[in-house]
Amino acid sequence: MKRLVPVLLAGIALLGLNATPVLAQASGTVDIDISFPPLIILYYYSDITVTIPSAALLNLMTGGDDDIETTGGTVDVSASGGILEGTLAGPGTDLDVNPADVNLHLNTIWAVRSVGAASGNNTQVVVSAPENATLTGSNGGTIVVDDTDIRKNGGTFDGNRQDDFPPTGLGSYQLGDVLLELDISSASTEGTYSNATGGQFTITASSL
Amino acid sequence: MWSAHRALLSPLARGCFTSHVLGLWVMATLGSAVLAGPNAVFWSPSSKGGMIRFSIQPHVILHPIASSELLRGSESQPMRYRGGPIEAPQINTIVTRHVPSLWRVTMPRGTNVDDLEITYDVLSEKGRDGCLSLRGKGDFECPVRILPTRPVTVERQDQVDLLEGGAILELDLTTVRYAGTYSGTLLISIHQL
Repeated sequence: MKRLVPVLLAGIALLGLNATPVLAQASGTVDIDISFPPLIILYYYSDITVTIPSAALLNLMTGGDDDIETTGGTVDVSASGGILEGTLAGPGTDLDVNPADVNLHLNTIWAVRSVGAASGNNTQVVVSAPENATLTGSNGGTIVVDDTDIRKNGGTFDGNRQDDFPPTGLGSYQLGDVLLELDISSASTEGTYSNATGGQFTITASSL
Repeated sequence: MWSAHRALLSPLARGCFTSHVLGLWVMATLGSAVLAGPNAVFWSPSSKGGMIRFSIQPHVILHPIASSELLRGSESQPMRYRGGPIEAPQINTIVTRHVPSLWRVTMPRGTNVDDLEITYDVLSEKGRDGCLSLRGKGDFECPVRILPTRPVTVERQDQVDLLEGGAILELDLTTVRYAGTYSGTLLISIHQL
């Protein structure tokens, strides 16, 4: 029995040594939350001056020709008061495009970044304008904006003045275009046509 | 209390130390985070002798992201036409949140703070490393980087020092397309070298 005591003590000492950890460590987890609100950023031009070169206008109206001939024609003349007089049917004056209905596409005129509330086409841009906004020429004449439309780049002008697309995220953006339907039939003089009566054109971006 | 228990189980499974749950309810605003919920408290033998008491915030609600952090001006930005196509200006897509007090550790007096190795790993809902994810829609993620701050001694007692540590969370919002609450789990491990 006397021999057992030192053996037990030695065993306890060994157990004690084995129970002492060499490396202390602890770990735990933290749940983290952060909320991110819906967000829309609209980039737009506050003022735009559109210059229409005469060559572009001529190209639109006649395909670029400024001396348009009408072939053939038989003229019967008669004597009257000592002169011979003949009257033709008149040369063809038709234009390729109706000047009362000229579409002006202003491409890449707006951009939107958006963070949406849900998936789907829930970012919307809308263009609005005063009805028949009139631009007055500096030397006389008027240009009337009959209608407007909007589309995203690569989309189509469908006549409903709005377009929807998915959220872009902040690292990207959606570019877009605006259509102005112009009546230039009364633009009788060259010059700057400005100061739309009745207000400004407005582009609105929103989250649906 | 479930958060505390869940936080407790992982280290217990490793069998490397004994632990206790302290039902201490904490609601405090620290820096840019709201810490809420019971503290999880663990004990571990120190390699230098004595015991280490490690406590952690089980739930951190970071301050919401505000649009003013991303934009320099208002939400509508007029631009001057200078010819050429419109180009949307760059905005700030990196947002940081400083959480100075994520954990606290009580160590035997004289323990060198440089002897502590603290590691942080953040996991999204689907277990993706380095991301938070939109709650309920785990496929939508927000990359996050953890920048640890140096622990500081907040209190000295006769036999022990109380150290506190935290981190800066750097969120990259470049690819985030959907609003909502983004969540994740931050695993904090402390080793005494």
